This record gives sequence, C-alpha cells and structure tokens, in this order.
Amino acid sequence: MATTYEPIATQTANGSSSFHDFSSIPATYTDLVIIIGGSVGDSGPFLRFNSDSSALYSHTRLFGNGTSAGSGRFLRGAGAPNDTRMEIGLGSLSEIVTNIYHIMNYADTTTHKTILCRGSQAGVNGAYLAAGLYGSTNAISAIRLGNTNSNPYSSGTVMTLYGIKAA
Amino acid sequence: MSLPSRLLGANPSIQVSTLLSGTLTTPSARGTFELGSFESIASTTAGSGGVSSVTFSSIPATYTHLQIRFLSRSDRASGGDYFSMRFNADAGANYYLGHQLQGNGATPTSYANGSGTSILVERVPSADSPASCFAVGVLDILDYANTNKYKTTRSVLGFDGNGSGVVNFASGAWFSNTAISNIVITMVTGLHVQYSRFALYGIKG
Repeated sequence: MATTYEPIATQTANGSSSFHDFSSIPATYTDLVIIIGGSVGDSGPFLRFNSDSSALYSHTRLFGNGTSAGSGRFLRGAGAPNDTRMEIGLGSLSEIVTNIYHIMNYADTTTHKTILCRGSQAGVNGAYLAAGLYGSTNAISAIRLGNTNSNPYSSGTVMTLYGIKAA
Repeated sequence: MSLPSRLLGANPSIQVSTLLSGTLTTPSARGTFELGSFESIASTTAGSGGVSSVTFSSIPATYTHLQIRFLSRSDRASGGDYFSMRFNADAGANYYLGHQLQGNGATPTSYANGSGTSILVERVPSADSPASCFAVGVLDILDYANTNKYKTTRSVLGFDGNGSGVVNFASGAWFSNTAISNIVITMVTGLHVQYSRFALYGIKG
C-alpha cells in the first residue's frame, strides 16, 4: 500500500563538500519536505531549484533572537548571486540548527513555487519563519543545498528529503 | 476479515465537497486506504472560477491529530484576504479568532483577533499580487477527537510577492469538547482562486 509521508533520499555532510544535491526527484508526490539538522555554516543556507540560476528568487522573513523580533525581505534584482538562489533558513558555524522546508505543489506546472521555512537555533535568531518565491512554473526535479558563503556543512549534518502524497 | 477491510469499514464515507456560489458540487470519496502514522484523508483543488468554501466532512475519530496543508490565493482586488475555519457547523461565538505573530518584510507585529464565530487564518495574496503567487501553510489541529479538551489550532503560513508578502505564526481555539468531524474553510472576502488546494491528513499517535 502507498505511504503518505515517506523519505525519498538522505545525505550526510562530510565536512568538505560545498553543495549537496537531490536530483531526479519524482513528480509523484504532492509536497516535498526537506529537514536539515546540523551546522550549515555561517551566513545561512540556500536552495537552488533545477540548476536554475536565473534571478527568480525572493523571500519574506520573520525572526526573533530572544531580545527582539525583526522582519525583512529580499527582492529579485538585488544582484547575483543572492537572487539566483533561495537564501532562507538559519545558519551557524558552531551551533546546531534545524531548518524545515515545505515545498508545496512542487510538481505543479501552473503555479509559481512558494517555499515555507521554519528555522530553530539556540543562539542568535533562534526562531525564524520565511516564505520564499521561486518564480517559475516548472516542476522541481532537482534541489541543490549550499551555504551562502560557500562554506561546507559540518560533518554529520543530515539532510533528508521527504515526499507527501495527498489523496 | 483483514485489517484493511475492517479499517475501510470504519471509514466508509470521508468526503470532500466544495461550495461554489451556493451550489454544492459532487463530493469525492476517498480512495485506497493507506496504513501508517501519517495518512492522507482527503484533498481538493479549486477549479476554474474558484470556490468560496471547502468542506471536509465525516472525518473519522481514529486519528490523534489532524493536519491541513494548503495553497491559497484570493480573487479579492487588493489588500490580501483571510479565510475562516469552523468546526461541526458551529457558527456560534465559540472560537478564539487567533493570536498572530506576523512579519511583513519590514516590521514584526503581534496581535490578538479576540473571540468570534470562527478561527481566522491570515494572510493570503489578493489579485494585486504577482500572478501565480500563492500562500502556503501547514495547520495542525491537535487532539481533535478528544472529548475532554477544547481544540487548539496552530499554523504557519506565508507568501512572498517579490516586494510584498507576509509570514505568520498563529494559534486559534474552538471552545468545545466535541470531537471534530467536519471542517469548513471559507474565504472571508473573495474566493479561493483556481489551483488553491487543501489537503487533510490524519496523524496517529
């Protein structure tokens, strides 16, 4: 019998790779979920879809650091490489963070893709929520994970891609 | 009788219906029963012309929690929109509309919507947002079938319009000990436009 929420692939960082790719993602699910647990380097992680480095990425974010809350936005046109990838999620060189990305309707070819990210970290910017827009109607079949300063994820950082099927 | 057959017998008529301008469309019955801790119950996608309401009915009490995963956009002209959520057709003042923590890309805000006749979920893009831009969200209803507790909802929602958009943490409440068997989700001002989608999942604990 079909499983509703199932792991598609898992990667564990070796501490030296600059990128981690999920490729050949089947279009048979409704939503994708990526969970990253570990140290993803300072300045934060990014996602790039289908090797698309066009200026199609933007986001809105909300965060709290235990002292104050803030909200920000990133627009297309801000310049490469920032708007050529989705720079959402929490990052730290020394602390463990958890970033959970929900990619709804990833295989739909009529809508742009909205990605919801929840980040959790014990230190700075400990609570985080962001919505990113990938302005393409292409189905997502590949996802690259990296760090915005090209730092490798720390050894042992686990990245798991899940698929969820709706009825 | 095999386990799947017994379980199918316990869940014979989970239905999803959409309401379009007062006309109730044909409910779609759930398909193959799926075993596991996280199970798909029903889903619906708005067709051409959009829908004002989405209904999940005959929800079995066999799960511990429910989760709704959704995409939503309104045809309201501007200003964004909200959708309301009611349980078991209760239209009385038995809800807490919600507490919100929201970011609009510049300023974080926190506010309470107060008591009311539904739970409000906000905010989804309106017609003035970039084309094909939808809000997405995950809404959890914990212990939905527990008859000893009021029902609490929690949600995360957001959209980005490349210069517009909001992200939102929210909670709501239904002050009833009755198990939830019916959920109606209604866009407050406009319609859920074509391609808006709501999917209901059950989580066993």
